[in-house]
Amino acid sequence: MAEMMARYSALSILQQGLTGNRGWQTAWAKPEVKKSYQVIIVGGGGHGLATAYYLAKNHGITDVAVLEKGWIGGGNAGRNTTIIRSNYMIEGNTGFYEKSVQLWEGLSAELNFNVMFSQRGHLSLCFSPAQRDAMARRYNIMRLNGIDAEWLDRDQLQKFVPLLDMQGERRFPILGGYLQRRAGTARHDAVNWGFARAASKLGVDIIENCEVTGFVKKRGRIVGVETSQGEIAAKKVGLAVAGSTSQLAGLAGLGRLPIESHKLQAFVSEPLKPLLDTVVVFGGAGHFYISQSDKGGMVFGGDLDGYNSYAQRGNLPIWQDVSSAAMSIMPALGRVRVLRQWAGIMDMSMDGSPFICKTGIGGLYLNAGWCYGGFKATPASGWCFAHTIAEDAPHELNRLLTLDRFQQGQPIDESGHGPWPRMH
Amino acid sequence: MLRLNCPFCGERDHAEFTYGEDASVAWPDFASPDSQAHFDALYLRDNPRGRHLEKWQHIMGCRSWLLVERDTLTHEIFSVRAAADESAGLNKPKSRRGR
Amino acid sequence: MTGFRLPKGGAIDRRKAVSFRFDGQEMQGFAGDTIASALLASGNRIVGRSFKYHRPRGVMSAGPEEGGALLTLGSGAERTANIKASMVALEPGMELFSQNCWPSRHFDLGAVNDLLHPFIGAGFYYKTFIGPLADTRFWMFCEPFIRKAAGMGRAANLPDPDCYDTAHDFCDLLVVGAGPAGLLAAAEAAEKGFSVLVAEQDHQPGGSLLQSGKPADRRQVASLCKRLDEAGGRLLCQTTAFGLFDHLTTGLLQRHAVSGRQENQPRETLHIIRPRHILLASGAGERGLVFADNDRPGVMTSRAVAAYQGRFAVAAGQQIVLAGTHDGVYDDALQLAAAGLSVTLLDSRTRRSALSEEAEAANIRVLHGRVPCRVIGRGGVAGLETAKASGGWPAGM
Repeated sequence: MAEMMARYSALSILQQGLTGNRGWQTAWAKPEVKKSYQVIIVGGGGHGLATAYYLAKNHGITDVAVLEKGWIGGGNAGRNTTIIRSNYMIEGNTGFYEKSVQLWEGLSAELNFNVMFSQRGHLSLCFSPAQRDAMARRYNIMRLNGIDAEWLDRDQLQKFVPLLDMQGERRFPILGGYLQRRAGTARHDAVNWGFARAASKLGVDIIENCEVTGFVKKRGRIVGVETSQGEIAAKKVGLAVAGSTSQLAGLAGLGRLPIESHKLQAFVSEPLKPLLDTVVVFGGAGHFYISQSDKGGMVFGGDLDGYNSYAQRGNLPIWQDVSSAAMSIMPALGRVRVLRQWAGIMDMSMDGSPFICKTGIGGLYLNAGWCYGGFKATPASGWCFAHTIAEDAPHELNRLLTLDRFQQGQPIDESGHGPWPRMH
Repeated sequence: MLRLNCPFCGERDHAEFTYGEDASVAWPDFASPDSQAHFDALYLRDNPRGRHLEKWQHIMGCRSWLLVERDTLTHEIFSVRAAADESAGLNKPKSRRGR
Repeated sequence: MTGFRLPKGGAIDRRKAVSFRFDGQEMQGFAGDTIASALLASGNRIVGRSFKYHRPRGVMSAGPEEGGALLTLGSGAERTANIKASMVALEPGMELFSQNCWPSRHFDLGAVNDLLHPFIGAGFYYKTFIGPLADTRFWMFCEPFIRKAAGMGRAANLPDPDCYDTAHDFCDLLVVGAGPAGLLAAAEAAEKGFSVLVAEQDHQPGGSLLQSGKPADRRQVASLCKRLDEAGGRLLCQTTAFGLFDHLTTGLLQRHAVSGRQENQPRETLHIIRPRHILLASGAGERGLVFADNDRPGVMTSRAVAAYQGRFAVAAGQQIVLAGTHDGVYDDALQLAAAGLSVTLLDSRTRRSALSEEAEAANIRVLHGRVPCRVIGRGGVAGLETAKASGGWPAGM
């Protein structure tokens, strides 16, 4: 009975509702931190929590602690625009992000937590024949990799997205768009809490308000961490702190990394009745993406502010930029008001692609460099990082996502901008 | 809006400028055979959460390159000076690289 | 408890009647009214429904903290959702609609959610919609229903026909709020030679000086504005300071009136200000007390009730109960009693206030050491249960 009470279901809601809702258990345990663990994951965002879960689930390693300096999901995991897609074209990214979408598809059942993955499609608009050609390459690669991709012409596009204004003379005329139907959005809090709850159930300790301030080494190998709650020993330590990677790496003695921190703003509007049922991306002349949450707010964003920053807040020029792009293709939004505006800190890597790898330091593993694409990668990142830590070797899917790929001459550069972090 | 005090034009919005890069990077001479030095300069960054020396170009004004010392967390600006005024102590400009 | 217009007083212009429609029904207000004051004066109790449980909602405040009177203005391409009735000046010909209710705000089928509340608490959707299939099909089947139930107003789905403008500006001193403090500070600074810009989000300056209803207070507003103007200071009304960015850069959003606007004039202007100094004089917002069913139409903040009477000559009801924790609530009570309304005052403090005697002399029934406990009524306030502040058995009133 207690087990049934602990499982989420319509039946449990009914039973609890009829008895005063007093039987719900806290979603994850809050234990006292132990003196040592087999594995410590630094960072209680989506990736850290997912890693802990898959360590327990896939590899039977449950003596795990997730150390989070604030509250779980308070960093980038709680600040993104919740878009999920696998429309990548360079080897190293393609299989990885597709694995992530596949994991997303079964994630609610896996975690017994509705992560609200809505496969409402992800639409990239095309504004010129050259852009269409360039994107055709990307979307054909998807199809060659067995990933769903289709082209919508103007008529199909207008039917799919009534909110798009395609009539008459346009500043940015729309030729059509590429659609990945299986892509969409999910609820960011849900995936953070879902992984936390599932990991906690399997025995993982989630420790909040525990900031890692140093690393303990023995003969060059990591044997523990120093934290605001004392020293904790560990056989293996994984860093999943995108936004603060350079700082933690510096403390660990990893030295300088091919990462620059940039802030990315996001915005949400007042709650509105349904207005947009898919994810629309305006790339090229402008940079703007928008979807509508299940609560009714229009969630949107655009480019990085463009200068190194750790301030989780943005300035007006990007806000104006994003709004201009929005108005140019969806002028009905003119009377919609922005309710909140915030920013996250992006680990912008030198090629725009992430790192899930061992490091040059024994016992230390790195998950970083997610740029602004970390949310969609949450399940696959946890899956692969757990494998890398458990087996002390990468999974096939993250084999190429190494720190030393630049040294090897093997950057994974989707946008082709070269080593300019802010351009990716 | 960051306000940058261009030594030639006065205090202006940062939107008048293009952000360059970390100005503390030690660029080797273009012809140097030390490939590790080239690699380090091209790919590795201090990325401090705090004081950061960086380059901005005043593209909508005098088009000068400026060296700005700014805190990357609070955005407080400590100094703005013309890059051309820098002599010893600052790294040589890269040749033949685009801005 | 239903609102009505008082025969005297207020900063409204009774010579200029303003007609508007609410849910198709013709109503009237006066120049100087906000939409909220006009709705109250016309006897509207229920003006909308709450987001999730569709509980009846009335006007709750006289300021930006308004959570009940969220309406849709206009139709077609000019439809604007979620406007706060307390923050928008009434203009002739306005077409207003209630939101998030069907078939009407008085009888809303969505209220069944209120009955289901034990099963649909916060985050209930995380705990269900998971099965029966291991993929997203069931969730996606349910999602459209949830999305339709969510959201408040309906935004326009046609291109916005209005144009907008951006203005860049500089000043020595930006003052946010044209209440007595902001106006005085701005006037003095301007007279000392500072370039001063005042941003006031209300359509009239004066802030708390408008709420008392006293002509002397209104004269003081006019006098301060004159001083500011003569010293070269600028005042922007209907202008909200919405964002403080790096290096004191501030974003202001100025809303322009509809009446008298020419075809190519903007509906709103974004001002980006780079001030040397900023003075925040935005005043204090009142918080409601916590008690059961404190969201019923007819429950408002004390200051709001006084403001509606003083500024707009609108009585929120004939019999008014004010509940408070400090002397400020006595000022409100005395103001309302002087306007001829029946006022009962619940002072949560057990000690008598220095103002208790004056209140009693003004025929205000003062109950010390009493707090509100539960509202009786659903579409309005029919009564109030109270309790002793130290904890005691509730006694009905």
